[in-house]
Amino acid sequence: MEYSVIHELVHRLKVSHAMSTDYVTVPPNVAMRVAQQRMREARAGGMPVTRGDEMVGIVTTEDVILWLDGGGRDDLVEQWMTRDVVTVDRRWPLTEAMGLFGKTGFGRLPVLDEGGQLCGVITPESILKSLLDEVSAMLTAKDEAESGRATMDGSVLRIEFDVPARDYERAGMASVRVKRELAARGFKPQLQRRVAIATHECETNLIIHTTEGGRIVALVDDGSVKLTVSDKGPGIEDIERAMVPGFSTASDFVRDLGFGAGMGLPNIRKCADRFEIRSKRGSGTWLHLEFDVTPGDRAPADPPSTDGGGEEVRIR
Amino acid sequence: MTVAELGAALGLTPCTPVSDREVTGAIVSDLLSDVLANGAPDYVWITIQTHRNVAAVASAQGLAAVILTAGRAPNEDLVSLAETESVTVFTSLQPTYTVAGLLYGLGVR
Ligand SMILES: Nc1ncnc2c1ncn2[C@@H]1O[C@H](COP(=O)(O)OP(=O)(O)OP(=O)(O)O)[C@@H](O)[C@H]1O
Ligand SMILES: [Mg+2]
Repeated sequence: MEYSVIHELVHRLKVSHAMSTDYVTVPPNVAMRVAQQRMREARAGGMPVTRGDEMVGIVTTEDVILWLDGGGRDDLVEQWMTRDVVTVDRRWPLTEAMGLFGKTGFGRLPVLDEGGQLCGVITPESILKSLLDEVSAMLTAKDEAESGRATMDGSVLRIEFDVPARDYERAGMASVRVKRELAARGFKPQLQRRVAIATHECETNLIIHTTEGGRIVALVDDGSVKLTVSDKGPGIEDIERAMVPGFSTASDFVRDLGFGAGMGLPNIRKCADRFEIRSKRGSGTWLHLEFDVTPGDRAPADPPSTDGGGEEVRIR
Repeated sequence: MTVAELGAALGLTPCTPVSDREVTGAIVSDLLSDVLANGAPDYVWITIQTHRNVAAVASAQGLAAVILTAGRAPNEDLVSLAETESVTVFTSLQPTYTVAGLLYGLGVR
């Protein structure tokens, strides 16, 4: 992860993202012993001292140690707490809070809401946790964007890809994923290959020819593989001409990357058992492909496992 | 001839683990759709393209290996995708024409 990502995160995330709202407090007019006990039970290094809704101070491990040093008498919390509390506003960016931790050396800071009321406690640990959560959410989102969303609908596997326009070097993520899923389901290499080639061509067309990218939906069951590919433009002027091998409107730039042979649509038609294309200039393009799965396209199912190491019987 | 034998015979530099897959033929092209149309499983592909699509095309087509010629280095994400897809990627300092000629001479036809 690049430094700039974390940098961007601590500016974008607010204190409210990273604070804990599950914190302990103590009233000012109870014995220090009570504060000591509460902190130990909650494993907290300090607590806001509150009277009703109002924060009147903070008491920390350091105060407890000083109190114990002084003999651990029956003093009240208000005799040992710090009244001049450094706080942060929950609307501040995380960087502000991090700066304060650095400057003060404190291990926790009470968080106030817009009205100046205590609403949380932020610690370096809670900041770290929020950053890790955020980074992991970002990675999941990236993964999904890269390799699609797969869901089961009864016995039908549905894989959906949102393919962005002009992300040339990313082409192939859908085809690689679809191929993997077919392999995992025991489909033979020939079928994997036909579907992967067609998927790759559909994917690159979305990337190089569309204005806003498009969507690929793959439906896989025992008897067939179906692909529906759609985009919102620019649409194809003359479909018949686009289907002619060698016809391409690709720019020189993408030709340099190896696209634009004008062979994509013919390849797709060749690979699929059924092929349908509709397009309207100005509104978009829609393709539907079907691949039949014959019994020979699937590896024989695994023999049922036998319990207790009994003799395995295979019927061929 | 296997991918490993071919790599050794041509003095190619491997960028991914070298497999022992048996090579069935070869294709020379810098056009991705051309390889998708005219390649075949277990072929070797000779090209100057170096981006990740090369690995995706090789995977879709079931190619055994890719040789990047004329001293071109693969992008990092090409290498990582090729590795997960079990496609061997080699580089060669020689131009496409020479590599193809040598390969032909080795009996890959
Ligand atoms: N989704 C689409 N939206 C708009 N135009 C498209 C779309 N798909 C294809 N086309 C048009 O059809 C032409 C032919 O497409 P085809 O996939 O056969 O070739 P290509 O994409 O230009 O080159 P290649 O696929 O060989 O890299 C394209 O050049 C483009 O003009
Ligand atoms: Mg195309």
